Amino acid sequence: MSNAYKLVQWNRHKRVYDFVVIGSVLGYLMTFVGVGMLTLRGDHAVSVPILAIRALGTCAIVLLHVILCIGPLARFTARVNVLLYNRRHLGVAFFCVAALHALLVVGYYGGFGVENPVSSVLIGAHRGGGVAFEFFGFLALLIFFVMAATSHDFWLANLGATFWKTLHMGVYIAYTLVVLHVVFGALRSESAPISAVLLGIGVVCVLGLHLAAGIGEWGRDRRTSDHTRDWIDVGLISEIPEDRARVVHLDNARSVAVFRYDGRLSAVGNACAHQGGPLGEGKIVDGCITCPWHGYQYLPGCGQSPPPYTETIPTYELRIKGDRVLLNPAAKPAGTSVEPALIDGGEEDD
Amino acid sequence: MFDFILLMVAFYALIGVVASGVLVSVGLKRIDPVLRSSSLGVRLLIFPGCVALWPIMLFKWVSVERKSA
Repeated sequence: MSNAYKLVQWNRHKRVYDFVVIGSVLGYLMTFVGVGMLTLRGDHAVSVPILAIRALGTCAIVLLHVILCIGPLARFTARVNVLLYNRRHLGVAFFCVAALHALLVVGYYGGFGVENPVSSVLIGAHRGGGVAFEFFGFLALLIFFVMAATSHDFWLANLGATFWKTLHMGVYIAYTLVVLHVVFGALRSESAPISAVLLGIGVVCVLGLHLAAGIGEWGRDRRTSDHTRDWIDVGLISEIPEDRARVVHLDNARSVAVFRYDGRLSAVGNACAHQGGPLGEGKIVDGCITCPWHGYQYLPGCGQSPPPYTETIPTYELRIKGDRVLLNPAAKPAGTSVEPALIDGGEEDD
Repeated sequence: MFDFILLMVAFYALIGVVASGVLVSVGLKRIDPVLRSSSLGVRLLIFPGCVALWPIMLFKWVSVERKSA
């Protein structure tokens, strides 16, 4: 964490992540073009620029499906978190591949005439009728550009989390446009059904995972719907590992992380003030709750970042009854000090 | 219709480039003081976002100046 914005807050995990992403993209592109040149010969031969266009286009679609599946998958298994944590890097890489695809299309199909290349590709080919599938791709690329351009902490801080998230929900509009782009474009000229089948599988996976994750969240919200004014039973003290947390889910998608440290317990909002990372999956380091995503820290007793940093998170009251922990679901304003509940000699309650 | 949409996008982007030049040089530091201690690379990285969202950032800048006036 820092009191100045950085280009990228590099750490070992990010470096490995980016290495794998870039290596995979380059490997895919070279394999696609190489296999295409070897297998498509004679009457079926396809020029290298067209192979490159197809390689970039298919690579972008595969990346987009992976990106869209990460979120809902992470609701089911923590193993996906390794992909979730730096998803923005994957998103920007996807945009670069998609933009390169568009650039190549405009240059190859529209760059050798007298008309403006962009107009030529987007409009010229369809002046006589037909579906302007390139326009779907163009609109999708505009949305992806806005998303990639605002994938930095500065934008999250200055647009506000709600507006920023709403902006990035545009990925679903862009995804629909991309599917239309492929259906009315590449699939119309394909005689073999394999591409349509693969796209269909991708769409079913994205929709199915989102639906399953949504149903799971709805079910969880219903089970915790009684958590209004009453103190909530978090569980046994012994079930909370030292320097770790147990996460409790409340109404309205709120969740609380109850941390155990130095013979005491403190409860804070589960969402990091930085980018909403799951604090409950982090641990206490140097006396501070440490977010597993980017290392932002908070003092457990007050939800404030240690000076000179100014981030704050909501805090909650805790009570110990016998060997169980009780949580008051009413959040205190972010940065409010709350006395930790002492594990040894905890007070009995009525 | 497509011609018109393309023209509008081009105009928006052109105005965005000019506005972003001013924003990145002056305005953004007024909106977010944390940017003052950030590198030139960060401001260049923010430039494309300013081109995309220049109306919002100009509005924020004006609001900040009015509040401080």
